[in-house]
Amino acid sequence: MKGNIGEGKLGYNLIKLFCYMITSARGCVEEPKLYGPFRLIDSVGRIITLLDNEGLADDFLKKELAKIEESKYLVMQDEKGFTKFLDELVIDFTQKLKEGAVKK
Amino acid sequence: MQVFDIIKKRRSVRFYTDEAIEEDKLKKLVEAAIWAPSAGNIHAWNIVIIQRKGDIELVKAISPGMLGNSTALMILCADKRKAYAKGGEVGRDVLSKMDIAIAAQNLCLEATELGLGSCIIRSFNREAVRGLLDLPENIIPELVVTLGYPRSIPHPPPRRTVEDAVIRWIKEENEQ
Repeated sequence: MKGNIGEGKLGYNLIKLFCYMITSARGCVEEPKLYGPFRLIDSVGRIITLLDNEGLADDFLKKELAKIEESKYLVMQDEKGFTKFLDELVIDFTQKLKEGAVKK
Repeated sequence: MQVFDIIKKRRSVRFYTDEAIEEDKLKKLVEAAIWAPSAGNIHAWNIVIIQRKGDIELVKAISPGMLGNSTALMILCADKRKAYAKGGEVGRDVLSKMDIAIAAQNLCLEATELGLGSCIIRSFNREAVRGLLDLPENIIPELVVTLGYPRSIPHPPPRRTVEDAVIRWIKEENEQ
């Protein structure tokens, strides 16, 4: 049936992603404060992975995904390092946003 | 290995090989959990074991704390009806959870002895997992333990010293 999100691999993987994000949102009501940024950045990683599986991730996104996978677990033992890693991602993506705006 | 060595060797493992865990090892883990102490000897808990890959993925989708992969899950569930019947409100709301935590630690230590990795997880949606597994209303998932043969084992994080952990040590005056 056209428009049924649950059908097809991409649709099903999106449902799984939404489940992760929704249960994360519910969990974050009560869980430690730092879980919030971790779940958000992990969601970004999962979205990029989905795009990559569909052949839609460019070199920039692949590079950022590698950074996320390498550094996201800092949240568990190095809060300062985790914050620094988030700051770097902010700069990377802001630069990308700026480049896109210039092209438009 | 001595018990203390196993205690220190246990890590929260999140990445595993694809090798399936043998059934006799899984049974041994359950046995280790059964031998944990239980308040009032009530043992108001049960375990759901999942080895089928597709089902592990489904649980993972509603368990934000389940990072990485695993080849088996043990979901430790409180039997609230049994806990209340034998232990009252404290039994249902407190002791059954404590029992499960102790049982989970036993399970993880035995896993370490058997060369398996494990990770105790509480970041999952209990109602969603209960619904997904069609568990009765009185059976509440409290902890998920991921299991498998470790692909990588994390370095141990720093631990507190004994002096930092003990806030008061009451001795006889002549004891050193």
